[in-house]
Amino acid sequence: MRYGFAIDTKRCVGCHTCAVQCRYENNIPKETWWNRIMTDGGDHMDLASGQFPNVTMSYLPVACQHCDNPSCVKVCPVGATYKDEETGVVRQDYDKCIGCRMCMAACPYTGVRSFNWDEPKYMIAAEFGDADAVPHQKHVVEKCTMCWHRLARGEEPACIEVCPERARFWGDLDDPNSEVAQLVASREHKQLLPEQGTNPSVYYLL
Amino acid sequence: MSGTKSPHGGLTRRSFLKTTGAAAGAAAVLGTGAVGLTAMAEDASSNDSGEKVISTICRANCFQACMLNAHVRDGKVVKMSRADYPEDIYSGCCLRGLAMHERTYSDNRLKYPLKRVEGTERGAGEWERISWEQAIQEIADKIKDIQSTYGERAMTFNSASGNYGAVQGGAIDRLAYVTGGTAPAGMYDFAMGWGTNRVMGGNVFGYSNEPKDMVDAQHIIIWGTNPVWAQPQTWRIILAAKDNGARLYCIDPIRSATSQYVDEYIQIHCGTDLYVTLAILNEIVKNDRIDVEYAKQCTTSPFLIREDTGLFLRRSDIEGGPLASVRDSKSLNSVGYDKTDPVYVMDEATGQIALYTECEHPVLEGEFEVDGIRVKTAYTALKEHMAQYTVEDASELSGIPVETINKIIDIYASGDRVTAYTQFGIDHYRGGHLWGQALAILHALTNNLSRHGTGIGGPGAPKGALSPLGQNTAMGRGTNPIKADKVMTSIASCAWSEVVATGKFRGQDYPIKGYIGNCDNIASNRGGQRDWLDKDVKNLELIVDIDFEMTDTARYSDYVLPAAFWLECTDIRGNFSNPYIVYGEKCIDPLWECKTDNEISTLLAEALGVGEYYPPRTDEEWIDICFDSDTMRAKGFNQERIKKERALRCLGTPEEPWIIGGYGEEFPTQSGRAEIYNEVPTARYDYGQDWQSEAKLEQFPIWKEPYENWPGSEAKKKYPLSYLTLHERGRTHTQWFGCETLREIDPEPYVHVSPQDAESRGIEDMEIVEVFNDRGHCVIKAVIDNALPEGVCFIPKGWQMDQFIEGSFQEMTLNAGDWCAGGYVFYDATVEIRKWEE
Amino acid sequence: MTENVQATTSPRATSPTKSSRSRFGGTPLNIAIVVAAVLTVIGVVLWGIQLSGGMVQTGMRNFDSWGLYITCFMFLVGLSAGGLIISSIPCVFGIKGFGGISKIAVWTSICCTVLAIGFVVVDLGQPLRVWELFVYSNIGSPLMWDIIVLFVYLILSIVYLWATLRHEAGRVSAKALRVVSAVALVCAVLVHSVTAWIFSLQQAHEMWHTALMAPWFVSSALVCGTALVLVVVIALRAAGYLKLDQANVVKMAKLLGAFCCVDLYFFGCDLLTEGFPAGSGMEVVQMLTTGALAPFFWIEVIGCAITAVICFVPSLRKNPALVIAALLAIAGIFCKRVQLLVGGFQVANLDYPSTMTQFTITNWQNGMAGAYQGLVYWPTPLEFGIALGVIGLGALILLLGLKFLPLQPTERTE
Repeated sequence: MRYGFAIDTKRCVGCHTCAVQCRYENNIPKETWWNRIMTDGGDHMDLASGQFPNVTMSYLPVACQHCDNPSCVKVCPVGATYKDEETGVVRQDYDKCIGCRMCMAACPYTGVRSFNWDEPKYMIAAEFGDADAVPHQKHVVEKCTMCWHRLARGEEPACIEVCPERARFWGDLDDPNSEVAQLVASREHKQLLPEQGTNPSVYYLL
Repeated sequence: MSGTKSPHGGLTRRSFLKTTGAAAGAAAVLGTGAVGLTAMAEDASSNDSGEKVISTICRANCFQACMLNAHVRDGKVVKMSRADYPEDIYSGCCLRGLAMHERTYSDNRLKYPLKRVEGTERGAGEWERISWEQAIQEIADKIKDIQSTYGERAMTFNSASGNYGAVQGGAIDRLAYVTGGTAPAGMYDFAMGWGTNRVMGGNVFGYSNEPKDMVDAQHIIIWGTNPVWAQPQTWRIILAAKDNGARLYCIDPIRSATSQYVDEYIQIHCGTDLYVTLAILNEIVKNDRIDVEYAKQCTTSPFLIREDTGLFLRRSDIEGGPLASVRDSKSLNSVGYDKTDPVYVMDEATGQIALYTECEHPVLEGEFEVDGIRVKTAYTALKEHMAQYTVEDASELSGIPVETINKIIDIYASGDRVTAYTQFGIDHYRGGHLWGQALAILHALTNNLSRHGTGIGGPGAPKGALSPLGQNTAMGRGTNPIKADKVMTSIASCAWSEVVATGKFRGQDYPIKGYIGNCDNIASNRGGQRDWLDKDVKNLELIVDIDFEMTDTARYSDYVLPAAFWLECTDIRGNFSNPYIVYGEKCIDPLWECKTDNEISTLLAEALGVGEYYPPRTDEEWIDICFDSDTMRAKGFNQERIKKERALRCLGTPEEPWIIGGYGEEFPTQSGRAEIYNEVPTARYDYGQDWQSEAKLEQFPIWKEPYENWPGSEAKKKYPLSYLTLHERGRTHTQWFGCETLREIDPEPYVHVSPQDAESRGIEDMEIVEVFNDRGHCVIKAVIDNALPEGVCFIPKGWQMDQFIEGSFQEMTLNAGDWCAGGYVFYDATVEIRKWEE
Repeated sequence: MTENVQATTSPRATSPTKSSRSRFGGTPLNIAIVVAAVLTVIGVVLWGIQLSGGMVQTGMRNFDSWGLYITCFMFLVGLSAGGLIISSIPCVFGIKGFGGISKIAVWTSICCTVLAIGFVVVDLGQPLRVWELFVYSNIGSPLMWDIIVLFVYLILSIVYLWATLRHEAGRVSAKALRVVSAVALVCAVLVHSVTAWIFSLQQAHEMWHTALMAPWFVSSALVCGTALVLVVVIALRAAGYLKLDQANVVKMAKLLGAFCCVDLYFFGCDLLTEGFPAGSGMEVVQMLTTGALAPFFWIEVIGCAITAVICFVPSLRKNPALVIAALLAIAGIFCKRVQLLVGGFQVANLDYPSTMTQFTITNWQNGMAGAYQGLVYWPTPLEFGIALGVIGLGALILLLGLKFLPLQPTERTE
């Protein structure tokens, strides 16, 4: 089994809805984002590049890529970040993390891992978010869990259902009958930074 | 679309857990972060009972109206999630709705009644917390004082669209009907519909077919709107159309986000859409590239117009009777225009005139003499009228190449199903209604109104889904409107400030001394914010604002009353972007000392001594009143049912989406047809402006120059930049302005400047600049935006004054509307930008 | 190298006289010890502030998640390894050494190792979980390798020092000492290679991912290690702690010059390899030569070049100039470390603008473009303070060693 995502860049409008729900579901501390929407265009978010009228802009929602060959897992000295062999989910054990940030340096996907540089401050309060979401800790590294707590309940990750454009898909990439596997098989796609050899489990449909 | 509901394919949850058991069990011993799937699953089951999921709805004035689930745990809404409409295509949510609970618990909420500290200026920001008793008593005393000194109408009551709940939204307007007062006429977004109304009827928001019907379109022309940012739930429908093979076009002055997703982007100069549409219409009729049969049967094209009066030739003209000669195109008296006095057409078979209601084959074109009266068909008159608008002129004015305009013409003439999807981009210019009028005629003649996949897409289907909520007039006027005759509703909101400042209306003394509003934020939403600051704030004796947050309006008030937020009260709302009315259940009690708008208005009524006419009612009682109408009863709708079903379809069916004039139905016009000739054009509001001078020219759509923002404008000589205030994702009008999560994404406002304009002014990216014109200014950081052509700039709307370095986005706009359309012309403004030095 | 060593006249330091011994130490040393101790205490207090108030007080952020501490760590591992290599090579290969400075050199190495470890510890978010390193060791992690090698190295250095002392006391044979020194030498080379691998095995950062990194780290270590020993020795000689024949100084200077050349050669190779394909590596070359890191690049390149010139030109090879040259070399290598660390973060793989908060990147307010306009990272005063504290700890150990350990050259030193 290899759980993964397919994100249809032709449908994604960069609305941040998935990112915001990720935030609320996991009650991620203030100023921390596990899922960030990148603008492929100009110098700032939502700006295009090029010369008017021939300008281009598109969006890439980027969170942990749950790589098949994760570079973060290899470098963690204590095994706090590890790959769940059953599901292929790259996981992070907050209780174990010593805060050395080796994984952050090793991860090629800029910004998908975040360190709690401060005592977590919550948008509303600590008890908000999903009841099963793992509490946050100061001075440890965290990232997208693929909504592990939801997977355990038999649910999809929170970012999937909220997407207004139905641009996000999730499932077992190893199962040829799954929607994600079929999309990846039938659509032109890319993975981020393929030259890094990490083989991400997030496919961007083009 | 987003995948099967079970994330594990064919596996049941149980078997899935079995297969992962061993590994996950081993992981479970490692700390919380490492809990295996099994352990988590076991844990999760214990949680099932603790959380209540309540289906409710977002109540902002947004076309999207998303149903959302509130997850309530230990009496707190801990998160929101998407709830589903009965139809998948309408189900969705966005970042704002999902942030509803954050707004609910936010520190930015108004928590207690506040009174401006005695001796401080309005807007100084010094507040004293007072009790509800004190607040209500003092406000009521002041209202009574004002009304007894200056008359009932000296007190202004204003409910606006910040809460689309039928119960809470209009609470303050209702109050006016037991006290008397001035209720300014709203001017938001009415122009487009004022124009389409002349053709299709249905009043100002009656022009759109059910959005879902767009999936059958072959061409969707997205015109002057940016659904990718502003209407993500409707964009989903447009994407479905694209999946079905529709070609998408985007006509916009700027390279909007939407323009990145369409097949073709067509650049147009600001303020010239009307001219282009007139030229397209001209070409279409000049070469008869219309659906002739449809034009004959379903439009007023064959109707005969009298040359002498400009009125239709009617039965009373020939047969006499009480309806003869009552209409007058000079005084624009429209009495008597009815099916009871039908118009004549020329019968092809007989060569004689016949009533349109009785003639199967009318003549489309020609000039005739009937009983000595010279007449011609409306179509012929239209052809003659339109001839002045050439594609060449349109091309020169708009910057769209002639070939491209011809391409649009070809699309319309192809017989394919064409939808023009628009919102209020063009509405926000002077003459916006004429664009609506021209577009509706274009669609009518090419049979693009009532077939599946055609129409003028826009704010959905409010005719069906909104108006039922207002069928019982008590929702707007209360159950016992004892002072209805003392309620003044014809001062358009753009004229109100002038009345406040001068104490005169239409030359008569008209003192306005007080203002109380709910869910309005009038200071920030109305054009020309300096009017609020310089006229209203300086002249009013009392300003009371009822809101959730410290908006610009609240900031400059004397009293601020904290309203319950959407999750804290039960309500029902009607929608724009789908045909449902939805139940919005209360999820928690109002926090702090907040009270519902309903309760606040009741308390005020009591203190004003009119409590007996405006008794306290629960939200549920109001909902019952709302359902208490023949329309609702006919549909079998009631509170019990909506509570159970959550969403009730008000028109159409899932299989046959609602279409204006579709399924063989007539148009909701006087003639029952799409009316290409407006016999007696009128203005939406009469607030003393000389609308007649303009309306009398508008039987057919004409070119009307925008006030400022168009290529030939005088204003541009001094202020050369077109100034737009666009909708972004992070706010709906001014709502969510203070939502922290959304502000992390989008922390501060920027003025977007084109590279050329930045260069010629020596402005660097992220430099602080001043955007200004004669009306006001805004000091703000600039970003250089390649999506803008030279000469256009914009500031995303909805930010509040304290979020700018100085001024605000709304200071430079006009507090004015087209004289006929009565809609604000937010985009019809020009500015200059310079580096900020201070 | 060998030629240089052999060409130099045999140095044989005489045992320090009583008078010279009495000139060293005393009040100035005690004052220095107190100052170092105070710095250490201040550092500990600041570290406490960092831990309680959060690492948000440092300049490090998600996109530039390492900073001054890891820079210093890299640098000090180099200093330490370099010092030990210099002192052990003569012993290992049975050649003439540098006049009995090996004990000082080893002691300096030990101090630097302690410092390096100290810098890793202050960089950790959860220092109380350090024990996990030994319980949950992920042997596949280069960081784990480094921790192991570093500890082995520290112990070996101490053993080596102890063996040298015992050898002087006649308790350990020259052969045994030679074996110990050989192991220490291998370990010194290894420790720096492994430190290099922490960076170079990460494909994520263009600048780090080069096979040259390990040998280059060793060459840099030799540069700064030699330079440090040179400076310490000259200083100690001036302070009267030991006597040393100028010929030994010259020998070391020539070595330093040679090491500088090797290091610059490696740099040249690396720049050429990065830049030649004119692909993404060009970005790195530009960043170094003309971009945000240019000052650090040019200080290193010019500094090392000047050092080499001073070391090779006999007329310039005078003591004050040599000290300057050595300090320049040390500064140059420190700049190298800054380039490596900051440079690794200065080029983002995904440089698309996105949601930015104060935790995203050090200079986040003006978006991605603003963040990378200058140096992506700059330490806060707190980091400088803690770094100074860690250095204070190193200095304290160094000085205590000088005060209490018999580190002066003796008859049997060589």
